[in-house]
Amino acid sequence: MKVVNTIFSRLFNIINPIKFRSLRSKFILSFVILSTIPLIMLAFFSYRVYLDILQSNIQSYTSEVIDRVDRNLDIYISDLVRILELRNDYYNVQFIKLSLAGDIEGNRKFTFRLWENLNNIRHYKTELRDVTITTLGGVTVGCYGTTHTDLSQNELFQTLANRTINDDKTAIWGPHPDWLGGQVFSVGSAIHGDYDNFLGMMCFDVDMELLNRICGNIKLGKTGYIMLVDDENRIIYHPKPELIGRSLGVLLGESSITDWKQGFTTRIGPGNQMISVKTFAPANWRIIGLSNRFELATEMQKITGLSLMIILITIIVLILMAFYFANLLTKPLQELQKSMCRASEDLYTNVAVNTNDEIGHLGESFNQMLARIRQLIEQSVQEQKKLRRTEMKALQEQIKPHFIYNTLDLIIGLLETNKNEDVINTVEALGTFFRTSLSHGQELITIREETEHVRNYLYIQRIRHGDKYDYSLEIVEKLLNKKTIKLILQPIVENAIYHGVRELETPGGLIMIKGVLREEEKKVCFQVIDNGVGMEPSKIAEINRCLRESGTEQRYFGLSNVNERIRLAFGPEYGLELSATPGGGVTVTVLLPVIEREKL
Amino acid sequence: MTGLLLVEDEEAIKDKLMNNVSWADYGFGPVLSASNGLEALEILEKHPIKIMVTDVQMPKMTGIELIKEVKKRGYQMKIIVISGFADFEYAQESIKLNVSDYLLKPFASKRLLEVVLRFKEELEKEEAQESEMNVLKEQLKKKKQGCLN
Repeated sequence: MKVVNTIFSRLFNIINPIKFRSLRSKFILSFVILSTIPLIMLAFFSYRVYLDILQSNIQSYTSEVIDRVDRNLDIYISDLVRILELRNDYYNVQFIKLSLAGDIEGNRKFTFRLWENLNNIRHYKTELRDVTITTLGGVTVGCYGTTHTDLSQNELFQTLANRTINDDKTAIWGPHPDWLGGQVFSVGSAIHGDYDNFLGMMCFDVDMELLNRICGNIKLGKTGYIMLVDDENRIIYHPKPELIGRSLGVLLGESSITDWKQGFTTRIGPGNQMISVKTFAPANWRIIGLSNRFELATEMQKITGLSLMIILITIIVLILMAFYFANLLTKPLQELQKSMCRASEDLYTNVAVNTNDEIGHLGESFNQMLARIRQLIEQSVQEQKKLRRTEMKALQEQIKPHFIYNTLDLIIGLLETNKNEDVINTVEALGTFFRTSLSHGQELITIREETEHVRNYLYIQRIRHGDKYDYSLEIVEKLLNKKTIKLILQPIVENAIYHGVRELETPGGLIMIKGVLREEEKKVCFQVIDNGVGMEPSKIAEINRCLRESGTEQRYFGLSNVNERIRLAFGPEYGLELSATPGGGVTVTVLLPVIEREKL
Repeated sequence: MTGLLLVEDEEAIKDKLMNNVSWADYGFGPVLSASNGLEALEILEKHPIKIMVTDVQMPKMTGIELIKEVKKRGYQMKIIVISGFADFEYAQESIKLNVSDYLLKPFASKRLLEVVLRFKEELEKEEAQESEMNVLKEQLKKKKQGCLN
């Protein structure tokens, strides 16, 4: 599977890296390739198989036809051979004996008798031009009378005369012209005397028309035909009479006619002709079937054309189907894509889900995701609004008139008593205090700024409240450049002053602000520790509970506000927690994330 | 001598109220201070205070609560409220309680002195009128007795 995938992906890359990037194109191409390759393979192999079958059918047909010709010839010759059994008839032998003895007169009655007999025999079979008995002395009695024959010119006679009694088979000679000028072949058998001595022969002259009758109406294909050649490869029958008597080599080329085997053979001759050959054993003739392979090729071309047309139509249909199915599959995807594009601009749209398949599920999932995004955005907007609100409230707390007017009043007091140094410091502290509070509307400030803010606040407050308490700040150096949301420490310190150290009956109050980096937790930890009047454990627990549950900001406003802002900005794992300071007082622990300066 | 009570929770401002004006030179005495309403009430019980200057926002007992308590107890004195708040709510409350004057922070000590001196004069006038009335009443009483005798 992996290999197939690799091949396909490479194929896609090779074909066209731009056009085939879409799923639709890939689908169409895959579909077309997957369906046409087997189709083409099928067509190719079936063409081969069909060609083979056709060729073999033609061969077997040719073979059958040749067999039939062979059989017909055989039947005809067999009939003649059977008739030739009459050669040893008493009258025949007597005629020959008397003829050889030169008894012309004595022979006369036999001559008539034979004449009559032979004429009768001639009518047994068609195509028999003459039936003759030839004596060793060259006298021949036939259907048309008695003649004298030049025995040396009669090959049949020579063949039979040279045979022994043990080789008493029928011999065939021809074709040759008969005394009337017609083309015949002769079938004859030897006639022996009482002492097995050769006396003469009985012979049939068969009109070559016989071959035409047997072979003439046979067609092998459109232009194919049957011909006969003798043992010297001379054509003895051909549908074109002018070729009869010519050498087969002239027609087919010398190389094609050598090495004939006995029985049936097939070979391809010149001009792409298929030559099928069978030897007609009695005459040692060869029955040759010639069929034109071009005809086969023409047939096959028709078939190929038809096949190609079917394949072409099928491929076109397949491509159309591929387009149809690709559209069917990719249209919902394209719609989904369009909807997704719309959603990227307007989150308040929904993808239309029309199908119940994977694409439909994808659309549903996408809608769910959109809904979730909307919800999260809404939540985020709400949280941001809330953060702004709490921030505004914190800011309002910072610049509450009481603090400002009292501080200004304090400054007037200091001026009236010429404490100029104190006035300078106080005004400077007040200025820095408000600058940090406002901090150009920035949400996040450095811990250094936050620390300075609370230090200025403490400076002013301590002047306002006399020497009733002292304060110290211990912030780890590496924390100073980290960032935090602003106005975290001041409300806690304010709380520590008004509900802690300022309530003490005697001076000696102390507010310690510590800042450390909890490296293992990756958190910034501030602690505002006072040794003031402290709180009941139950109240500490209640405040902690209020801090954990959001929305309780009306009570313990300062601490709640800080806690709420931290949690809105950084998450619920950060925030405030109160605990009792050992030996009296309250410790407020603030946890913040570590925010690097350069990240912001 | 006019008894003066300064009520202010913030030490620095209390110092300012107490020390930035030489109250004794203007004929005030005793001049006392308190950090909240409760402390003030304790002082009022012990000392003859004619003018009270009080802050509003204080721990334990606010200025408003203190004034209500003073009225309730029937102490006769001029009351001056000092506050950073200029809210209508406080002003309304103050008028309702028949506060003599309302001074907004921040203010120079001489401004307070002016106000306090004005009330001192008023008090002195009232006292003078009262003593004159008393003299007249005494004379009338004597004349009535003389006539009866």
